[in-house]
Amino acid sequence: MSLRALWRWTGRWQFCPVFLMVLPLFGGMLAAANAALYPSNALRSDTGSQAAEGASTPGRLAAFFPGDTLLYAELPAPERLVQKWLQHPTVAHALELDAVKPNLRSPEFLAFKTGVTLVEASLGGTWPELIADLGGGGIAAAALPGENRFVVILQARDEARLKKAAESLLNLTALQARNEGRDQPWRIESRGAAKIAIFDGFAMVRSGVRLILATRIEDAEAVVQRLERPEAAASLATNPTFQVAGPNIHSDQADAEAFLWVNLEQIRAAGLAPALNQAVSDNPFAELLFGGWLVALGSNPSASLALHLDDAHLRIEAITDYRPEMAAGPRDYWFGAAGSGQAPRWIAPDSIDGTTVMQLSAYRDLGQWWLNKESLFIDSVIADLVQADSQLSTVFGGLDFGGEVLGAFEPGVQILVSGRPGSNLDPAAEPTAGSLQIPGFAIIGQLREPRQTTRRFKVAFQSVMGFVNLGLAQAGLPQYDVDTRTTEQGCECVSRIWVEEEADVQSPVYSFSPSLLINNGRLVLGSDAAWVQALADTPLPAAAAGDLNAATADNTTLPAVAGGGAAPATILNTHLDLDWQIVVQLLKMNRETLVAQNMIENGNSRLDAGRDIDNLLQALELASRFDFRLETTDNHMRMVGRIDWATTAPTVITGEDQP
Amino acid sequence: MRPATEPAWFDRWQPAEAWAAWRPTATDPWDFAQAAHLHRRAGFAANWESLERDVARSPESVIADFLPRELTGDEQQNLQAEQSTGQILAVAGEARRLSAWWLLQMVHSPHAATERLTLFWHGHFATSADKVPEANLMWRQYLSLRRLAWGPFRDLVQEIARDPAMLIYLDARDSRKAKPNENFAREVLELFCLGTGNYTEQDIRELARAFTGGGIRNGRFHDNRYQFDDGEKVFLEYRGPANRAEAIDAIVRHDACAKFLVWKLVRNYVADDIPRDHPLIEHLATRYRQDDLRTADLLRQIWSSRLFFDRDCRGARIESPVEMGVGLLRSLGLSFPMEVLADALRELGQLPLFPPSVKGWDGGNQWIDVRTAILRSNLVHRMIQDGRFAGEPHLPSWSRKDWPAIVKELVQLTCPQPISEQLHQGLVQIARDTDGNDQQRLAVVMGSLATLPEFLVA
Amino acid sequence: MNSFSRRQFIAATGAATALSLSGPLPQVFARTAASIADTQAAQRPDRILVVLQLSGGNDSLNTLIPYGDDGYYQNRFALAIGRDQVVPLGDYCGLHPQLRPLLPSLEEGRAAFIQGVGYPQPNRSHFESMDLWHTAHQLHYKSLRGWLGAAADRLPDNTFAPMLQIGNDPIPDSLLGQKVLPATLVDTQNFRRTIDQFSAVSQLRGLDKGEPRSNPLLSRLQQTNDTADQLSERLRAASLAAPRSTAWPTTGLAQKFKQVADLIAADLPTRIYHVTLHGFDTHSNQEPAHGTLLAEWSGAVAAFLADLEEQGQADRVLVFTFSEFGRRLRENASRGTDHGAAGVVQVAGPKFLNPLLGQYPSLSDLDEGDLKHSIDYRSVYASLLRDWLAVDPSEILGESFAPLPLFQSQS
Repeated sequence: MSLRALWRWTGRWQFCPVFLMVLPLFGGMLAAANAALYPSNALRSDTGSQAAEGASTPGRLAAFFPGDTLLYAELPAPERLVQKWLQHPTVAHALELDAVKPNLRSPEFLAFKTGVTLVEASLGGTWPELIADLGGGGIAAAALPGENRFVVILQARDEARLKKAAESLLNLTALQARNEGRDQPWRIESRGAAKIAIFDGFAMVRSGVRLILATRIEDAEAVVQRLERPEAAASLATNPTFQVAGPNIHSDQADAEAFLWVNLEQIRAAGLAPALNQAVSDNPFAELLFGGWLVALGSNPSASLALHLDDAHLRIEAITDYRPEMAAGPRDYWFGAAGSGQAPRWIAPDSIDGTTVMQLSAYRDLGQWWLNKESLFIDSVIADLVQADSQLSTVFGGLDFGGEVLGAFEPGVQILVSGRPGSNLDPAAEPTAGSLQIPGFAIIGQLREPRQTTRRFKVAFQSVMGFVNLGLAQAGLPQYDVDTRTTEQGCECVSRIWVEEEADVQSPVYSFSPSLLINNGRLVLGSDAAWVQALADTPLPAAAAGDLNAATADNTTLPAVAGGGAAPATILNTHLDLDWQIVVQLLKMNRETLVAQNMIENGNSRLDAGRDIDNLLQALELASRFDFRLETTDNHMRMVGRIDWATTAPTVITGEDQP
Repeated sequence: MRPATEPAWFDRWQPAEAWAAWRPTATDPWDFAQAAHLHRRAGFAANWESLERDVARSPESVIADFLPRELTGDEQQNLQAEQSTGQILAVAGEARRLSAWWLLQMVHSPHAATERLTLFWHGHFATSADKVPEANLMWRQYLSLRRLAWGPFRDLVQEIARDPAMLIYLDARDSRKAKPNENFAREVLELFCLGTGNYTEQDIRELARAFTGGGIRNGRFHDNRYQFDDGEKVFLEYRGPANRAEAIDAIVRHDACAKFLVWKLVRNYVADDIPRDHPLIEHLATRYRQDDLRTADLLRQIWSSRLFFDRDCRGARIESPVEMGVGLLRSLGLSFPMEVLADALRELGQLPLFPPSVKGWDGGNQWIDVRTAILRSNLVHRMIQDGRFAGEPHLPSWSRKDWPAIVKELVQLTCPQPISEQLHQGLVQIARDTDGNDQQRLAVVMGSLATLPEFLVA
Repeated sequence: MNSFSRRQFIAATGAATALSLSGPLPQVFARTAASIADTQAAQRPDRILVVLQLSGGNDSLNTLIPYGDDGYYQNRFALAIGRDQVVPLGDYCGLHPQLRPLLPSLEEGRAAFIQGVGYPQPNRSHFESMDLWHTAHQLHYKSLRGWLGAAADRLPDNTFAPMLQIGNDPIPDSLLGQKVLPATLVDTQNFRRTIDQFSAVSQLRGLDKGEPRSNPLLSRLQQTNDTADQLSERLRAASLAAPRSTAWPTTGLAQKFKQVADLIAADLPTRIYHVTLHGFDTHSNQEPAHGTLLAEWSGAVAAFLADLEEQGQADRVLVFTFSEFGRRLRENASRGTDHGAAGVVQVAGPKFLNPLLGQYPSLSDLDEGDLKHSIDYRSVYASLLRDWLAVDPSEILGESFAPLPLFQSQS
């Protein structure tokens, strides 16, 4: 039940690559299931050392796939991966979860366990042993052009064992079919020297130390031919794009557990992902976040992903080409001039109070983004933005929203989320029991010309708070008392909830005091006044030598590489840092609200809802930190996501909250 | 409507006999069908185990369960926990979520009869969240209605006449001596207490003067002495310097009040189309007056009566959308997203906290037309298809997958009257012919059952 | 929701057995599904009115542009549409270029602009002015009702969904009648039973039909479900029918009009449809926002008319487009316009007397800077009620307004 809840939760974050990164958690749980099957399997040191020897360089199996492969996935050292999973502390923790543990005794799982045991018995080994033997030299899979065309190759260490395993598999399936009263599920055909076992839907053939499975017989045949005469025909390994930009593109390829190479050119040509062929996007925020990558995926020949796993981290890295034309078109707002847009670091996240839960820093020229919208979006989105432009202009007193409002900022934005619920400044206000505790957040930007633009934003803030207050009054909620003043350095606008003496209505969200501070051009707009104040006053972090991410003394960043001087090796364009443990704490603070929401959304009773939420919170404690970066180097663009695993086990649910 | 000459099933009953206590006999036993009928009418439809359990008990003890009593410590605590959640939602400001929460209460709460009666009063004192901006006020009105639901009626009206949500809805935020709010007075007479035809325009004007001075400040009722017209008022049979409370007392004492309320309660609990001046109504009204308009006593009498357990009483009402939706979840042990249900109920015409007008929900024929008939079938199908069973559906024959028996049990649970053998076969055929897993089959079977008239009545 | 007196709702829902089941089933449902093909070929006598509401106050001066009058260019600098861009409808006025899709209908005489429409003592508040248009100035009467609702009350055969609002907006006051209730349709799926896709279910329905119930309540309910069967079947058959070839734009409004076209093709007995397009309150930076809206409007209506033509229903459906007021002649400092008074309304569908009806308001004789009206909108209503829907307008409009001659053949 809680797995569903977890699934639902992650399913909501459609734009956040966290979604993608959490998937391995499920893999971890599967491995946990296996650990439950074979508790003694946790230590298999001898295969470990063998694994190190047998680890293949990535792409070695590519020679056996056709050159027009769309997707190529490879596990260069499968047994090393399995070992890591089995020994992984987080997997052990996952096993202890209240959501998982009871399921391991359920009838369905026991039936599954029995089935697995049966297979192992016939193939002659436990599951990890089988993987080591049959796939020790690497496992690769590919999706080929056409419908339902897949090929999988396993390279075993020992030919004899592979032969035996293949035969056992055939016998097992035949036996099972006989037991169920069906016909034999396969027939053998000879193609040249090879004998192909043809099942319903796929074909299997063994050639030397390799086992090939393919959904089409011709593909299996083709692989066999390539195996016998590798130099004869063109293959994926001879595909120039693969040679230049295949898995070997990853600098630390020796440590990676898995690779995925995507042949974007072929995919686009086959029309399989129409979204890639579109030059324009239908989602402004996806464009804003990933604009550079959207153009890359739409025009680059390929992209490559690598997955690294160890006890402390899980890291997925995606690399694709960077070409200067990308930065020259409408995505100049994303890349910066000549691709050198750096994410600003005006505020070092932990410099405030050590409890920042999230920091997002990105180079984006928002003004340019808005002005480029005609080239970036589809018609209906442009129409919506044009309408919004009209309304936003009004809020800013008739200024052109794109050019004069968004354009007033230096390219670059930093967004911080505090780890504590915001404080309300009105002493008379009492937080309502059960009201939502939301953390403070702040957006930080740098004004190009503070002297001219500071006042503009101050007045706009006043207008917006005016609207907000009218809306609150209509809803019968208390309003904000807004203090604004112009200072030497800029301006200070602080709003507090104002609760009248005898009023009976309580404000639902108490940790909210929208504020705007401008300090010498640094603009901080946030939801918690005290925090915003602190942010506005924080000095710039000390600049490391040659660190182009650092800000200069007069509060501007260097957006582009100057004429002289060496180009930086890596430009960090976007950086997201999320302290997951604090997120979980915040969620725990809001448990009542989450339970109520679960009850309504699913129609559950309080008991069931409480259980669901507690299970979810417990599962979320498996990770501790999440880091996501978008980087650009001279020739490549890199997307890196890293999950840091929690070092301690999830807290046991004491049940004290249960009714 | 039915031609006036044709008698209804309740016309053959003499009032004294009709409302006398029912005693089960060999030919007219206390059986599964009767127990299901009682649950469906007094509260909401119950599941198989509860019904089996209740058949083994005496009807009096089952009826006593529906009536209000002292809550145990645990029950108090649970109620507190539930209401604090409601409080949170109310403060958060979205009335629609509050509706969804109330529906949840109807499904899970052990006090089904109280929730149903509260819903009745909510329809009677209709206030819509469409017009009242603060969910918090709607919440407080709900609490008042629930607390005072079982009577005496006078206390309930007194409370509602000062309820901020009600006053906002009726545009009666304040009423001054110089400009008494006649609208409010009219609604009190016409909709809350007496019904049309029992008062004159003069009565309204005089009564409006009694209500002067009352208004809302800071979300609370506030009496402004200076705006109160303390002169003598003459309305109905009263003469005197009545203030708000005294005026209401006078109105409630009027004969027509008891009769009006009895009529509405009998419509809600017994039969849709009973006319206002039927002798059955008058008989009960006399007793209601004697009981000081205590609704608990009235309902006990109604639910224990021979008329109520008459075979023809079963299926004499069109089931309201809320009864259908909540009933389905309860009887099968199903969980379904409440907000989705809320939206669907709105389409069907009955979303709690959002009555379409100050008249509340008329009920009866208003519920079913071609569009809503289709929507009901679609909703039933969707709820079972997309819902989640706690384990499995609570049907005895489910584990055996014995579809003929399953269909029979479904009909027993959800229809007050049996269906013909042919239709039964038709439903079994549907179960057999439909592809998919068992839950999907159940969804199609129930969706089909929902197209039969027997399903649409309660 | 607008504030209105609860009083009228008592009346409105009072004796309402609005979509009631009593009495004989309407003739229309006595036809079997098999005759759908015949139905579509034959011309049905009942006419349909589609009301398109442009919310916000459409700038009529930039819709039907008086390019032949210097006054236009003297008062608008940033917003004036150049003479070379205007699509001329004669020497004096012409269309905004984004309205070009409507040109063929205008030239054919199947669309017309009625100029100078308004009412005395113009009200420049959105809510109040829209209330007036919705109720035909009946706000002060105790029994508030919308003019369309009142019309539906008087239509014969109004037992099944005589008024439908398409889209997710709240139901406009114009649709509130005393007897008949409007319904909102967001998706035609609303009218189709999900389980009808299963063949065993239709067998059950057949069995049910063959078993008339003796209990009067059950009998009534059975009849309703019977009618539902027929409707569902009708929609299903309509969906299987060869798709019509008209190309529809992808805008939201076009999709709503397409739903209307689909429902007409499915022979739904609805007589009045209501559709809303928001966004016309262009106080600042009116272009290109206004142009985009005009494009959405004209694209949707043009496709709708083409579709009706293809269905052979072009003479049976009338689209009436209005807005709560026009906008001021002089543009403001934010490259936009403010609330005004008189404006244009548009009618489209059957043949009209003339593509331009009425008289363009003078740009020099103004009422506090706003255009003066020469036609009271209630005359237009009277015409639509009497000459199109065949309903007596005098009860609905309160006072007597002479219907404006609109149609080429008054039949």
